[in-house]
Amino acid sequence: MIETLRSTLDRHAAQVAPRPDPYARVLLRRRRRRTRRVSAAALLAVLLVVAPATWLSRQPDPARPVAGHPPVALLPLLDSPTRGSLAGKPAYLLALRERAAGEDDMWREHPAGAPRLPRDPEQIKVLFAGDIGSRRIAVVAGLDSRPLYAVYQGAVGDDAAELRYSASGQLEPVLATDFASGGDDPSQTYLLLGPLGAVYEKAELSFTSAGVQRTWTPLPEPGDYAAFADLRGRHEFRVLLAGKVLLETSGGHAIPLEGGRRPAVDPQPAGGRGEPFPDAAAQVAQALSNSTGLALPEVTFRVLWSEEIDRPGTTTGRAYVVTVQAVLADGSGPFLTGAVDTGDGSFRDHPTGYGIAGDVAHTLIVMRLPHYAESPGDRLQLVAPPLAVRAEVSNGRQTHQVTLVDGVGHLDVPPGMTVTVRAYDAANALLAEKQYVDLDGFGCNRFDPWSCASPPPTRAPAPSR
Amino acid sequence: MPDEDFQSFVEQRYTALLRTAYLLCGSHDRAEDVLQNALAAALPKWRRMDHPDAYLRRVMVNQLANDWRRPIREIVTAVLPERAARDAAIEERDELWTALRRLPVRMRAVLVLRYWEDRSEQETAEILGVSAGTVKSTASRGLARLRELVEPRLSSDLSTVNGGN
Repeated sequence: MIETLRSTLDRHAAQVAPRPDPYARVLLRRRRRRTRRVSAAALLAVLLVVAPATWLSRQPDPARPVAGHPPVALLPLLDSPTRGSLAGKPAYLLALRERAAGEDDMWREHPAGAPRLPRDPEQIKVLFAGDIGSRRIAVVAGLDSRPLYAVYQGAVGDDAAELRYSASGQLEPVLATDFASGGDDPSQTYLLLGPLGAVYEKAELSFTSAGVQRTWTPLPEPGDYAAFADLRGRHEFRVLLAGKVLLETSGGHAIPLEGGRRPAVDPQPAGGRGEPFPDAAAQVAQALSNSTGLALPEVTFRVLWSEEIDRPGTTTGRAYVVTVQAVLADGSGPFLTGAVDTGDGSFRDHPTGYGIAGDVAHTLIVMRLPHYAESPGDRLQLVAPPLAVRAEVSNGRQTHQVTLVDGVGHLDVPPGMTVTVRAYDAANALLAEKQYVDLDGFGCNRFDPWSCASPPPTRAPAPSR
Repeated sequence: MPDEDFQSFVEQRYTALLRTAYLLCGSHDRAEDVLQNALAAALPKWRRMDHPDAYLRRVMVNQLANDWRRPIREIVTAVLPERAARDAAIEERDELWTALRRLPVRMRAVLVLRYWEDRSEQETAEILGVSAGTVKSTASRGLARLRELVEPRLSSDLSTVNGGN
């Protein structure tokens, strides 16, 4: 494990290169910092002169930087009774609170002012304590103005001191946490914990030309929370309280279908859009099958676009980039764009490389390409109907023309830009239109992220220089 | 007036420190930011500083520990998808990278300092301002947590992974 870790760290560290003029930037930052400090000191002096002593006497104790009441949004969860099979064992819950309050390694090493769980056990709440399958799981949270949570896990029968710290973070209105199983088992232990009275639902997914259809079904008992001892595959869940969606998320890992065999895919790209790369196409098809749960004979797989292009950060500087679609009966279906390093074969994707497409003659795909360097770069890839010869790319103020070859082209668009792309054929007829928004992460559903209660994070515009 | 030694130090050590910062936070932008902040903080104390490398590392770790991250949420926005099982060695490394980013900052720092920078437990302890025993136990727990987080189907052949690299 250590050698693998070293190799991982070496590989990622090797990709890092500094931006120009680091020394000049340090000096600039130092000057700004001094300016801010002078301003802050001046402001503080004014406040000290004019503020009444009584106001000063009410300042919070500096030793308790997070003292105060929890945010209103978290109260339903924090006010709920402890859930889980150990909830009725007060001695166990007290031991958990004392353990969390005295967690030296996790919290007390943090510098002054850093958020941490309170040191007073009375200020810690046990949200969950119980056994899920063969695991014993405990979740605690701080009762202060910036509540954190910590998750512990162990085996059934472990006392509070024997549980191992597992994860921590800022508490949200619903807590979702997972634990990988050991060995070859791809299943997970999964816990969704919302306020008392919350409704937990799981979605059945179906892909159509209009997007992803989700049919929500309430989970069976116990009802006070949702727990899976061995969740297999990736599933979408949501948690509602009084009809309002508190959380919509996906849980579990996608598992290989068809016994891990790669689905058959013709590597020849549709409409002659690029060159065939059979091995890369098969890898992307399998990733698509695993992600969607779609497999032969329910769907067929076809390559929409396939090229070998420059990709900085790869071992060779080049990567095969392939878009594969799982084709449903009506000719539409989800697609995924994957990149495969031509040297070491490592795989990458990008949030904008997922979607639902119609038939080849009327579909326009606009995406950033998977990247191996830190940034995706400015390249915006267009995969238009094969008969398209040009595209207009407009941000509302400017319009750029892009020449398409067999429906394929690209242009540079800075990060964070929202653009409208229109593809035209040689007779100037509009073949397809698409609005593109830069994404910086995945939504609850990778193929239809805008259908989620919480849309995916969008990429901020690049700062002006 | 900026010190010429300081300028020379920045020019010589910047890339190495930036790589450490990147491994600590997983973001190129953030790595530049924390390193620049640490260097700006070091500048006025430069003449009195015996071990600037250690000081800068400690400042960077403290900055990152202050910027509270949400490790469970990070996996939701991870770039890596479900992948074909063929390239298990490479995928294992990517899974490890994703898993590493889910660890608490100080646990991640212990693993980076101990196993990437090859520092002793005592050196690591001095940089982080903790005891050597804490470093030992944190490293042990960090490795155990990484094993738990690495996707099981990809971690089933660790001996092949090691041998192949």
